[in-house]
Amino acid sequence: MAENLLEEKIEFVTASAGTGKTYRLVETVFDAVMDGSARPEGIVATTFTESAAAELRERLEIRFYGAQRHREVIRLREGYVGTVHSVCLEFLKRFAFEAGLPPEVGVLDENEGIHLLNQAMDEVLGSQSTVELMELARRIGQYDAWKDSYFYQDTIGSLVGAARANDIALERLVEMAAASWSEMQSLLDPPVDVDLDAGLASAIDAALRDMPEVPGTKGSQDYRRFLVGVRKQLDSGLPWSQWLKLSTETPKKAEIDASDPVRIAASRFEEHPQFHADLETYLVTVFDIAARVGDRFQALKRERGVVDFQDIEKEMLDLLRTSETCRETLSEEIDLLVVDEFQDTSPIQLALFSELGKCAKRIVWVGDVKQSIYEFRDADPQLIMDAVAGAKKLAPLDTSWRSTPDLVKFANALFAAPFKNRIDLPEDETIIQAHRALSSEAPASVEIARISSGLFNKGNGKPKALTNARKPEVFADLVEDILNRAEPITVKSSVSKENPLGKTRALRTGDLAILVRSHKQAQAIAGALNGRGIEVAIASAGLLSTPECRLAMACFRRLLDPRDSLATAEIIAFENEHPTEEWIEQRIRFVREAEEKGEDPSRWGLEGDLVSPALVWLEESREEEPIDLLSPLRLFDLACVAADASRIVARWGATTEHFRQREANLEQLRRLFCDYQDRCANLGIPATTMGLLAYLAEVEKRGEDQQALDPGADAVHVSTYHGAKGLEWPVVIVADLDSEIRSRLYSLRSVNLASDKKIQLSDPLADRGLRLWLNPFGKSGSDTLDKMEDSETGRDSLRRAEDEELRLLYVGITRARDRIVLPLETGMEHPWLNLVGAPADALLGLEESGVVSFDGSNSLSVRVADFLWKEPPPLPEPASEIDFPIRADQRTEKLLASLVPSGQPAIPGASIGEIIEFGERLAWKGNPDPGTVGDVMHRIFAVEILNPESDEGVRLQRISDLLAGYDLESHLEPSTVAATVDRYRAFVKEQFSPISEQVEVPFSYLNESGQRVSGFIDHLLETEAGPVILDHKIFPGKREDWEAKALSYSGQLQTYAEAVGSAGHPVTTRIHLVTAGAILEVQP
Amino acid sequence: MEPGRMICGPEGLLNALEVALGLPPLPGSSEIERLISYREALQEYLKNDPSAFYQRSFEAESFSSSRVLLRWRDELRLAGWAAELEAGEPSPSRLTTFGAVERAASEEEAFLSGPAERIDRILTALKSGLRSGIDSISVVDPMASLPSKWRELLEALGAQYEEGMPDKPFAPPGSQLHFLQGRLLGIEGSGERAGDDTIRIVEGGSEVDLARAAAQNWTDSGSLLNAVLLVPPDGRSRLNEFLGQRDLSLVGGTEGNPGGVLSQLLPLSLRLLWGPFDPQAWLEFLLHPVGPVPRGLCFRLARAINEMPGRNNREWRRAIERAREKAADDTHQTARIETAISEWFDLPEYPREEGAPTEAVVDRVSRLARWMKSVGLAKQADDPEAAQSWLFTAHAVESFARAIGQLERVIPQDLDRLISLWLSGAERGARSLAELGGPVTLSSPGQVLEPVPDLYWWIPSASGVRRSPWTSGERNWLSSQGVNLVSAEALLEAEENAGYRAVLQATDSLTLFVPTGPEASRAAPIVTRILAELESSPTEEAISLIQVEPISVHPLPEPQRWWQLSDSSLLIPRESESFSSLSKAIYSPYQWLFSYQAQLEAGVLSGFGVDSDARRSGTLLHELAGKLLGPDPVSGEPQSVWAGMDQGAVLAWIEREWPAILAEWGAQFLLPGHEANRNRLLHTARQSLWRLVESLQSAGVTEVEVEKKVSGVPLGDGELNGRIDLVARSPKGIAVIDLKLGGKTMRETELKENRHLQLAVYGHLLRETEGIDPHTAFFIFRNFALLTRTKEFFPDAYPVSLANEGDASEWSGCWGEFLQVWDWRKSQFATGLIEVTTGDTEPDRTPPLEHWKAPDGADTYNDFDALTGWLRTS
Repeated sequence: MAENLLEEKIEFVTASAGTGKTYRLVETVFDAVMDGSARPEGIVATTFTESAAAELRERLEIRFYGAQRHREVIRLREGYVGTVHSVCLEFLKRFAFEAGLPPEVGVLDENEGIHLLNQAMDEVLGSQSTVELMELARRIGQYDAWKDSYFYQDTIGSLVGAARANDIALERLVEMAAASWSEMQSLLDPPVDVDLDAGLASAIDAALRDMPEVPGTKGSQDYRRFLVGVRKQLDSGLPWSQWLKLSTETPKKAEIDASDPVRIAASRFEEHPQFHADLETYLVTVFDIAARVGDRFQALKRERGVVDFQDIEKEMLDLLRTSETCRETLSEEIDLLVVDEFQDTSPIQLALFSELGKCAKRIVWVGDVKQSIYEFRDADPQLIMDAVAGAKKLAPLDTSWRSTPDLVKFANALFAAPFKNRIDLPEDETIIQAHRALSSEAPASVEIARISSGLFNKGNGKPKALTNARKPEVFADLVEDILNRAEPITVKSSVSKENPLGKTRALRTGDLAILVRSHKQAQAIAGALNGRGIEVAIASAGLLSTPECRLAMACFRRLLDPRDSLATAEIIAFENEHPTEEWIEQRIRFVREAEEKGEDPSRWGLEGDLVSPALVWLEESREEEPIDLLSPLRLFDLACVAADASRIVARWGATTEHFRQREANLEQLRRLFCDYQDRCANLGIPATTMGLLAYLAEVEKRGEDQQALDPGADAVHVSTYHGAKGLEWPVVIVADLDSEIRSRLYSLRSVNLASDKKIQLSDPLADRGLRLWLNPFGKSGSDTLDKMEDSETGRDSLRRAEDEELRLLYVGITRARDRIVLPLETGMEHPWLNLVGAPADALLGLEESGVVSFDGSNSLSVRVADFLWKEPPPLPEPASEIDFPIRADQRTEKLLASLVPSGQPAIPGASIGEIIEFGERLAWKGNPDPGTVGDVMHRIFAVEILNPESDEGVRLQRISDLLAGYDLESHLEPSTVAATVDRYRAFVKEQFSPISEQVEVPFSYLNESGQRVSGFIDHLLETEAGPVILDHKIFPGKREDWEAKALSYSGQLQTYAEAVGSAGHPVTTRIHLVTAGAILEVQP
Repeated sequence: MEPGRMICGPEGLLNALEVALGLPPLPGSSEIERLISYREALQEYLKNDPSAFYQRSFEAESFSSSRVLLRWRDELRLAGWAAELEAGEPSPSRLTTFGAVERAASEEEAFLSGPAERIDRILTALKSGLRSGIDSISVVDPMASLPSKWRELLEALGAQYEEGMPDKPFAPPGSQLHFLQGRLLGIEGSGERAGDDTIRIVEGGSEVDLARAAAQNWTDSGSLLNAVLLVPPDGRSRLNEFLGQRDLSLVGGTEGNPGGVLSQLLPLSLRLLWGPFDPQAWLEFLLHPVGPVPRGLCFRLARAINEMPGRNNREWRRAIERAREKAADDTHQTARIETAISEWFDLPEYPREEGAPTEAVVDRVSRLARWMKSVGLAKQADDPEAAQSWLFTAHAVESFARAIGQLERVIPQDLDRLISLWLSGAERGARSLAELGGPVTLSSPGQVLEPVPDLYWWIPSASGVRRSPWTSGERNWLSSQGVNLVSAEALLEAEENAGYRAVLQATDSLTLFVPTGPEASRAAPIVTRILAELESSPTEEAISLIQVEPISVHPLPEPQRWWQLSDSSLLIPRESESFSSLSKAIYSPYQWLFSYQAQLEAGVLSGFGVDSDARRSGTLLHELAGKLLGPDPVSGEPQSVWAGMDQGAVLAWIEREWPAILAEWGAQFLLPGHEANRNRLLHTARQSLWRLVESLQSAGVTEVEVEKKVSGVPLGDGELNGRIDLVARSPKGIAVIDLKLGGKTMRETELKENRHLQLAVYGHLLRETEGIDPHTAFFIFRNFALLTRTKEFFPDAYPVSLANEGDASEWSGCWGEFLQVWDWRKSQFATGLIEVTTGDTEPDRTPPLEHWKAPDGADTYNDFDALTGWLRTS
């Protein structure tokens, strides 16, 4: 029943690429609020990225403001619009006590998470079991000898993560290890009860005996050495890859017969009981360890009061399942639950949305299963399709607002059939129509670039494949060609509902994107483009290795440590005022002379023949600023400003755009400083320079030092296909269409254990399981591996990989607004493109421009051009000048904008007028802090002056309480204090006969220079003779020091006098020495 | 403003009233003290009611639970709730719990000093007839956004509520700003005049662009005396950088990050509480710019830890000894060193998992406070400002000690949390003051209460929503008791209105600086509203506003294969050479130039750090082998116990010695999270050390010298020195063994090509000093492989033959070849020619023996890579 209710509430909208998904979401929410079916604060809308959430929030608010529904905007902010994680975190914080979580739970960053996971692994794995696991891992190919790295750590980490991502109880992992092994074992030859080790040993011994000690050929020598090596290892456990190698390796012909028995004996490894035992033990061990590590990892996070992203989902799911209060409250509150990009929902998120959906009155899921490309990150497209199968399907969004009619037609032709055939997707969920129109002069929307090495194999005459070094150069030619053609593209903002044609302008560099399969490939293409002087925007690591960041870090280090001669040299080299040889010679001379004279060599660059402006400024900063007291971030800012790093960097050229990229990189580096300090503050650990350097080193080691990526830069965008999701460009080159399709058979897989059963939306993860198969042989092929790949599981794994690749291709092809360019290498296979079937053949067969018909009805113009590899041209000369923000020539001294009276220096020439001693000294016991006495006495004077008529008992009690509140009761007697106050009051009355009195009088005024002066006057009297200002000071000094002390406050009193002013009468200022019982007139 | 008037926020008003009414501060007024006190109360309550609603969260993490519950409690109290309410009719269970916790607390509990209690005291004082000195008071916050306790106080003071909203637009009619103001006031105005510059939204992908655009704008504007800039204090220092570049007045501000350098000393010193010894924590403590340990001793100890990451080991003791020797003639310095040692070094460590006794932590914190206070007092005469910082921080540290003193026992997680809390309220590092001539800077839009000609708003943002934690049932019950909590909607509306009020005060222009880069994830309500109200977008790109000038381009030098020094006499021969210097001269002449001639080296900060990397692993295995094969630790005499060991005995020896070796040489491996590295190393040790011993045994070695230092061997005009890992002696002869962690393939290649220079250097050194031709070998730990040229000395070694024709002797052939190549190099140096053997250049000259050319990757580990030129595509 619950299931039906839930499914009945769900509306699913398919939104193909570019069909106005965000618009639809906004309208859905707006309509619901306007028709009263949802309160604004009852909206929960989740998206997958922060930027998408920000855009949705902004567009919703503009929509409501535009309709003059201002109050609804405010109420909408009480609702929940954000990423899945941010929304869940909000809920978890709100219901923390129901969830049993710390209510200020922090979110663990990825690195800290890895560190904690390692710690959990440390604690779970004792030394002995680690060593045993290492030995086992070496035997079954779970070790990379080159990197000296064992795979089990990653595997355990993946298992812990996957168990949580699929809501699998950790204690069930061991049964999944058994199931994994059982699946694998069923494909292996059964173990035999024969001592195969002994057989192999004797075969090797015989071979060594039969072969000459020093064979005649190098090949046989190597083989013999190999046999000797493995024979030594055989007793202590020979890796199974070595068994495989023994079963295929041969010496040279002369000795080949001797090796036959070895090959035969070794080839029986699959029947080896130990082979079976090793695989099983390893699987059971890592799954079992993962279960225990997972427990410990959770405990460690709890102890620290933090959660990671997976915990947020899992905790939220558990909260919804277990807390009646939470469910009741949310059921009262949630009117509409909207989920964007539903296809990217992970299994646990699906369960989460189902639970949350039970609380919502209405549910709208928007997504496109064709764009589900995160299977490697736990998304399961099949699960999603099963989930939406029972939902009420609304009409798919059927109009592309993004692409030209031909591009829309092209995507329809390419993908409608394969999506239908492969994943049974109805055609109306793929085929859409274009809103945009195009003039008849517009260039073709689809281009094929026939790329080639231009070389042919001598034997068969077939074209030679482009090498990894040459391919990027061909892409650079292609990009240059497109940029040189500068054909018109349509201005996005000019296209509207009413004007589908829009306006055009010539193509710019930033209008072009290249999509590739790997970061490595992206880097290679970026390098080739840079080599042509073409600016590139690319998400890439290596920030800390860029010259601009090296310069900034050198300035930072030099600011901290003038003896860092390497940093000094780097600054001089980066300043680039002297040829390298010149400054090196200068350095050597300087050091030698300094040594001879016994002087400090760290003055190099500051004096003598070579003076570096940056070093001089840094040195000045060292002298002027409290370097020792600045935080790493402040030091960094100071170093960059002092050395004028921006100007140094600008001079490197080669273009203004490149300078902007360099400046953006400096900002990115600064962000790392901020991140470090924020992280330290959150964790309660110290933020130090050393800690910072260690942090930067760690970030660099992990390859997380990403360079700045400006999406608006006028540069060719080079991105991976995955990175391009959600983005669009006028012209897109879709590269790497010749990629191989690889299954992920030996990666951890999440599976549906009841594949024949329809999933229950009320508990969609009830039948989830995990499977792991091992490849014990590394990269070597073998019959064993062939069997696994030919199995049903193997074929299914390949099919899933192909489906995922098809969706990725769809994402790539639909990024283009005006034109798409398909680079196809002549004579090569294109397995990826071939996933679309017949249309691929049509494209691959095209040799010249023309009209292509895909299925008889779908035809469009395709431009075809050839690009043969040729030697890249020399790098163009850099511009002689670039634009740099204007600066002032120098900095002028300025007055401060505000003054604090107490900070004013004494006025020269000020004098002491009347000195009146009106009473006894205020006696105190011991050594109280004078500052504290001052504070309490100010309060006592204030209240006593304002309330002169207080009852004696009440006032003594009040004074007593005040003294106690400041821990002064043992130092001062209330009656003594009261007497002091009384004497003062009596004196004031007698001496000044005030018309009125004010205490703690605030003031604020602009002085003659325009500076703001603000403060409080302790006691202000209005008298016949004019205002009198009295300032209380606790000064227990001697009588002879009174005048000097009072005069030291003349500047402060002057500001009071200016604040009070007086039309006719002069303002007099006096210092009240509280402890002395005296008043001194100060005449400024 | 005439004297006697002031504009203030809630805290300012409470302070002023407390002074005027003579009220002392409430006990335990620091946030940490209140928190700990409430935590105690909650804990106490759990004893009676173990299933209290907060129990699970409290057990998971008591401090943040307490902090949040205390906030709820304060909000309830401000809304008029009191524990007594719960005593009457049955209330919802969570509220009953709050009441019970409150009632169980004694009157002295520090948590009973929140804002509600402060207001209560003031109200009592006012009711008793005391005068506040306040004649009139106006409130600009909407009444609905104020808790009832505040409303009660304001009523007692006779406050008038004035929202401060103008009743009509101030901007000139017909302007875009006028139009917007009309819309904000709900007045239907005539059409906007687009592009009249009365409203500008300056958008920038980075803060740098925005700051430059602001500076440009203010340069163009001329006088800013009538302008107001809305910018939070921590956003100002960045803006100042760019204002300074245009010679504009700085707007002042504070550093954005909590905890200045002084404050960091608290967490730094408390990290030393925990065992096992954490070398990285000690390095950070010692190398912090300020600290209680004299600088000289700090650097010596830091170097010791860097060299030998462990405590009280050989290097550590040596560092202290040397510092004492250096200060021997200076009694003051000697006293400082001894104080530092007794105060900071000889303190116990506590296992993290067990925590530390409260007294120990308080003692540690108090030591720090005492030291800070003494520094502050010493500075008072010469540098009162600095002294104030020191004393302020010392005072805050003392308050931290007081707070900690309330705990029963201190566990690391709690301590970290409390430090994090403490840091957020600690001194915020450097401050700078605003200069005259700039705009008036305000921190929030709510502070704009009077007309302003030009209003600038730096990065407006939306604050988070504070949603009510109470269920509808709880709210209803509270309401029935007259306790009405302020709704989230009222707070949001107040915030929104404060923004509108600021915009409405602008008479001439409104300029907003809005980031669009990756950091800008949350659209500010005011920007959204403006964009929604105006038909024509007033946005401009920051970059288009920045005035630029041409600057001549001077590209970075590109890599070149050769440098030609004009004065070759600068390259003087070295008096003493070693394998390292010779190797650099041959394969990386530019590194040789920088290291040995130009004497360039990284500073201490870059050179220090403890990581479980390959270098450290190699050192540990060296030490392990050295300890097994080296002299008797007591007598210092050579020993040969190892010679009689079998595999089991070697493994047992490793088991026994490993912990001590780690503690002494590689304490970082003992820290949590390093078990895998540690075990991998142990695994390597177990496998390799026996193989090494086995090889020595089978070679009949009777004596092994470890780390043998050989010096004074003539070479050219100077001499050759070296330290040999192992020298093995047997009746057959003598062999040198160089120990390596990995790199088997590389060493094999060297042997194949007769380029195993390190072994040749050692061979030559031994021959010249002992008169015997030694055998040579590399031992690779990771592969447990003994690589030699022949099996003559080590019968079970892995022999690597010379690949091509040449002198296939163990090392003298290599040495001979080296001398030829060295002569070739020296002849280049003699003419000032330096080869820059980086991967970015192609070799164009070959050495006299071609195979001695620099191998690929010769410059992989290279401190000088920033100095050898950059590709133009960099």
